[in-house]
This record gives sequence, structure tokens and C-alpha cells, in this order.
Amino acid sequence: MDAQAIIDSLSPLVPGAVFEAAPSVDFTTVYVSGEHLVATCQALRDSLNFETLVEVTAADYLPRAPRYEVVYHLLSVSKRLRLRLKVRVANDGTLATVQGVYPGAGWLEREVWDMFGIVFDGHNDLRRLLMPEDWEGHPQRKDYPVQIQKAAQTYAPLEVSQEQFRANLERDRVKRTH
Amino acid sequence: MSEIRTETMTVNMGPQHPSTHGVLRLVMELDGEVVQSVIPTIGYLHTGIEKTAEQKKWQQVIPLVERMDYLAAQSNSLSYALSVEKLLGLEMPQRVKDIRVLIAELQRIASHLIWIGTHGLEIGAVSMLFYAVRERELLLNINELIAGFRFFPSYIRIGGLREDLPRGFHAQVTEFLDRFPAKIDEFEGLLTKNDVYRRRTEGVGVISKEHAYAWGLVGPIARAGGSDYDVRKYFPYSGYETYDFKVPPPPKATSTRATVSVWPRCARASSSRARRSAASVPPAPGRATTRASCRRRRTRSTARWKRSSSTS
Repeated sequence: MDAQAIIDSLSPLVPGAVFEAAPSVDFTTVYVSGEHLVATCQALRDSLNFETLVEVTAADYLPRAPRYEVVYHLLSVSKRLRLRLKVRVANDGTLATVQGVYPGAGWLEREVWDMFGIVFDGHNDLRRLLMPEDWEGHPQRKDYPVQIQKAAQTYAPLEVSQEQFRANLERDRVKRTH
Repeated sequence: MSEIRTETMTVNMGPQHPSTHGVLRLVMELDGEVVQSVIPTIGYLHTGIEKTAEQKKWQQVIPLVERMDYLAAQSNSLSYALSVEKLLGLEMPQRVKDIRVLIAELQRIASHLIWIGTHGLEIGAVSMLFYAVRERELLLNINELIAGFRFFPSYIRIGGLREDLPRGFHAQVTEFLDRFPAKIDEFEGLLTKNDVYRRRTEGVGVISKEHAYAWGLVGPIARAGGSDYDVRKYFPYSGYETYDFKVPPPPKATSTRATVSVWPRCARASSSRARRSAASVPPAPGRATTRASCRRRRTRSTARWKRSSSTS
């Protein structure tokens, strides 16, 4: 299925969206606008059998505007197809989460936020995935230095009362379930 | 009698714990022995390989990617080399494809041996690890033979391989493949006929096919749930389409044990694929001339390398 066939079958399913075929050396690649991403994923999953989200990643094309491209790799096991969706995101831009369509997107989007600083609106737990929680900056941006000097972080001994501990647990639990 | 008031217990495990194999922190909410929820912190092993790779020349990235998964190092360099070759539009000769498939399958077996060994270890079948590591040792010997490095051989290169297979490789691989099928039966018996092991795994961690797809799970985990997705069948690379193998059919039970029971069939398929590619990679004739020409080429490329690094 080439890009044009995908676009032709997607266009009636996602009214108002503009799709654009992208050059690719391996499998079909389609550009989609950020505001129609979730609807597109929904249509791809429900009508075109793309059951699985394999990967979410991003690329930083620094001097260019819009600066980032967020890349979604979808897989259709039943049709033996792969599809790459690309979304252009401006500097400090945000994107809606696709967690509602593909629950597995949670960690992948956390990684993209951690590495590139792209915020996913509506994500239920947008914490850093790989870097320490108190890290500053997003390492995979092109303007982030390769070698930086950072003082070792030391902490005062943890002092949490039993009540605070329980309150923290409760807060985490609420965060997890919502 | 009044009801006993119970509550879940929150337990922190890691970041350094003997059974995390590496560094992993889990904050678990336990109800007796049942895990209700878990918050994993996986970042301790993050080493910024992508950021480092951006600063390197293409060929220099191979030792880096081999360290991503140190149990199947050459599978990483294979996928990296395949990606770069895809961008360059290169098609590999048949011999390179066969050697790569052979190496990838041997690495797969080595990696799975560590998995099944440590899986047994953690669940109480401690001797499983000893048996598994014994077989893996032979595979590491093969790595040492082809590149002089047991863990990270950097043998697969962009555009081919570092050099042709060494003398004695064929015999050593054949010897391993001859003894391994019996070992698979032994492992299978050791785990799946062990009553303690079965009680601890059956009905635990059941994942349906739909769940596996929704959460992006692949490999034996998805296959245990009934999926037949195997990237080597669905999107063959490096000549896998010419191999005649079956994706192991889904087992009847869906549980952690199902994953384990898929494994022996995967391992058998792996060793038969390795055998097929070993058969199609005959020991290279005329080793002396190959080696001499190899050395000449290497001297030339070293000189080129010195020139280019002195100018840059």
C-alpha cells in the first residue's frame, strides 16, 4: 500500500485533515498535521487494522522551522504493513497524546518528552523516563552540549514521617489511576 | 467474628538488587504475593548512546550500538549496519547475508540462554543458570574465534563484515549445533516438569493477543498470547525470506509458562536456521591468499584512516 492509497482511504475518515506523502527509503511515510493526529490514529487502528504502535521518536532539525518532527511507527500484523506517521512540531510546541488509541504510547511519549522536551497534552504521567527527575534540559536537542560539567547531586537524608509517606503513596495512586 | 483489616504493602526494590540484572528500581504495591501495581525506573542504564553516536563517524558507531544489549551484541550491530546500508542503497552479497544470519541466530540463542537461566534462577530453579551458561560459553568461544573478543566482536560492519570467517569456524559451529538440540530437551524437562516452577508460573501474568498488540509487545510474549508475528517472517531482511522455518504455533495455556514453552521451539528453529546458513557458508577456499589480501587492504585502509584523522 503506497502513501497515496493510505491518504485516499484516510481522507474520508478524518474530515478536514491534510495529509502529505513523504519521501522514504523503506516503508510508507505520511505527514499529518498535529491537530488531526489522534483522529488519524483512531481511523488507522479501527478502519485500516493498524493495531500496534511500535515506536514514537523525534528528530530535531535545528535551524529549520518548524523545528521538530515527531515520528510514529505503526504496524498492522493482520495486513503485514508498516506505516510511518510524521508530525511537524514547532519549538516549544505541544502535541496531543495518542495514549487513548494506543495505551503503549505512554512510555514512548515520556521518552520523547525527556529527550526533546516536546510536551504531550493529556498524557497521564508525563515524567522523565531515562534522565534523573531533576535533570535540566533535554539532551537530544541539537543545541544541547555533548559534554557538560555538572556537579554531583547530593541530598540531605530523606526524612519523611509516616503520615507524609502515606500521603505520597495516595497521591501516586491517584496519579496512576487517572 | 470481625473481618481482618488488610492493606497492601509498598516495597521498594533496587536500584541495586541481585535479581534486577543491571540497575532497575521498582516500587511495588503488594497484596500478599500478588503485585497490584509497580512503578519502574529504568533510567539507570541510560548512557546517551544516541547523543554520542551523533558525534561519531558512521563506522565508529558499531562498538557503541553493540553495548546497547550486551547479551546479543551482534544483533544490534546487524540492525545498525542494515539501516545504514538501506540509506546507502547497498545490496549485500549472498555470502555476507548468510554469515550475518548465522551470527544473528547464534547470538539469539546466547541471549535467550541467559534469559532462561536467570529466569529459572529467580524463580527457584537455580541450577538452570549453570546449565544455560555452560552452553553460552561455547557461543562466546565462537565469538572469540571470529573476532578475538567474546562480548563485543564488532565483526559486522557497514557494507559487509570485518573479514572472512576464520579457519576452524565451520567445525566449531557444527559441533555446537550437533550438541545443542539435546540440551534444549534437557532445559525443557528441567523447567516444565518441575512442579514448583509450574505452580509459580501457571496462570501468572496472562497477556491476551489484543493486549499484546495494544501495548506494543512482540516476540515470545506476544506469541504466548496467540500472535504469530515474527519480523523475520513478516518483513524479512538479510535473506530470511529464503529460509524455511515456522513461527512456533501459540500454546494452549496463556501465562508466563506459555512464554517459556514457546522458547524451546524458538530455539530449535533458531538452531535449524543457523544450521542452514552454516551449510551455505562453506569454509572459504584459499585462506592464505584471502588473508594476505585482507592484510594488504587493511594496511591501506589504516593509512587512509591516519590521513583522514590527521586532517580532521
